[in-house]
Amino acid sequence: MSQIILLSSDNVEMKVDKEVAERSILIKNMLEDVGETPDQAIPIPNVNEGVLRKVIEWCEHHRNDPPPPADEDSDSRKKSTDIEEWDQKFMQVDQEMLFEIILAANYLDIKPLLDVGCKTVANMIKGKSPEEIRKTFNIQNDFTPEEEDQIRRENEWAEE
Amino acid sequence: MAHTPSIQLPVETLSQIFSYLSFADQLIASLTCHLWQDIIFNSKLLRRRRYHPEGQKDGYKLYVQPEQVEYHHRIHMLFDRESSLLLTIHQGKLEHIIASCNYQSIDIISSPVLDEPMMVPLDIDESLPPDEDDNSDNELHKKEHCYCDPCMELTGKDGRMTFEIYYITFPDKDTSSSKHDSYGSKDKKITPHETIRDVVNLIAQEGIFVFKRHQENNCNGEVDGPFYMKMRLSKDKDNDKDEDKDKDKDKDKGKNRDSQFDHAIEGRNKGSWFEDEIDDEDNRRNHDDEEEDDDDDDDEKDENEGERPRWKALSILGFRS
Repeated sequence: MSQIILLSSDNVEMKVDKEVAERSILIKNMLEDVGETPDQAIPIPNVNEGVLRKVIEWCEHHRNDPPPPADEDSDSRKKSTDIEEWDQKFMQVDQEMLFEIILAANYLDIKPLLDVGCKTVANMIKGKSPEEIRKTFNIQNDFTPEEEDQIRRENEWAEE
Repeated sequence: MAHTPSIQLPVETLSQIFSYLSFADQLIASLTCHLWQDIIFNSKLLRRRRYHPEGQKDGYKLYVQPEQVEYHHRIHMLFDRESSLLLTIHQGKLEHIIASCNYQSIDIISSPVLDEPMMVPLDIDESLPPDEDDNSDNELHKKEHCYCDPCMELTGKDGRMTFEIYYITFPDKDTSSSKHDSYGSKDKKITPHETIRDVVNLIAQEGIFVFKRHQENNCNGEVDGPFYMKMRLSKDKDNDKDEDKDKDKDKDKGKNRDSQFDHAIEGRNKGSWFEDEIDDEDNRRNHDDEEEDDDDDDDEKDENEGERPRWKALSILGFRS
């Protein structure tokens, strides 16, 4: 089994099976362009070691997954925020890591991982009030006092 | 609260995240900050889905015939199911617009969602399926509209009107192909294209006119409304929450604290509206007598008459686009 080397943004090299790395469409396309398995490390400039290890862990576990349906029927993946158990556990990380994974999945073009990440965040939003959401994600409330006032009233109704 | 910058997700990613939320959760999330609000109300993906049938799979019942579904898909989610909008009007001004979805209620009076069209402005044409109410029972149909009188009785305690838009259905046969054709595709009079805000304001400001105009039209045998909206004067504001819950959750329990309310629910489940209307007519007559007096007296009356069902008016509205 041929292996390739990935180089994280903080210059850590990681050996992975080509098959695993090719869960990333970005890397897959890159390898196809090159034509042969490169000896040199492939730099992944946007992803640090910790995150890259996490992403590789995910790719390892999902190495045999069928490829996502090419026909990107955006409506089919739809509302369901069900996440398989392994992925749920995998996503039990602090928020910064969660966001980093999402960004990495986005950059590396690993759609199923991106989906899992987005669903995880969606589940963190569900059922919360605006204030709770802000707290959870450390979002600054940038509404004007008037808008705020409105929101306060809206909260009254949202509480149930 | 000090804002420690955390990792910023790209807009497309946020948009994808929001797409996994229910409509109610989206509305709530939109109150978090401007960026989120912007994404939720301007993302094409999310907007499109607000007219999408999926919303109806979340345990909602569609009060339409299967063959109508195609058309109904395109109504804004705020209108496509029962008890989706609750309006409170005080002195001619809208005080609250409560959207209830997924067992959550949220005041959307200043929400940009109201600026979305009530229906997707698609090229909906006359392949309109016949309306359920619109079969051979024309007699009954007309009569039904004639019930829609005085808006007065929509006034509740404190001069506040709180009522609920809980069902909208679509054009009658009468408004179908030939008429539409004559307007041409440029001038789509038949296709309701108002924003939700327009519709709601129209009700708030011109409620009485709308009622009357429609009544006249229909008594002349003319049906010109692009849609019908069922409205019902709702319970007193203070009890909103309780009753909302009842409505959603205790539907089948036969809770009997308000028999007319239960009855209305029952009628709805059967998909039949007429019983409600008729029952209400009697009710309404009583009210007409009572409410000749000043509004000020109403408070007392409402309190004295604890027995009186709070659901007073049940009417069908229709008006021009």
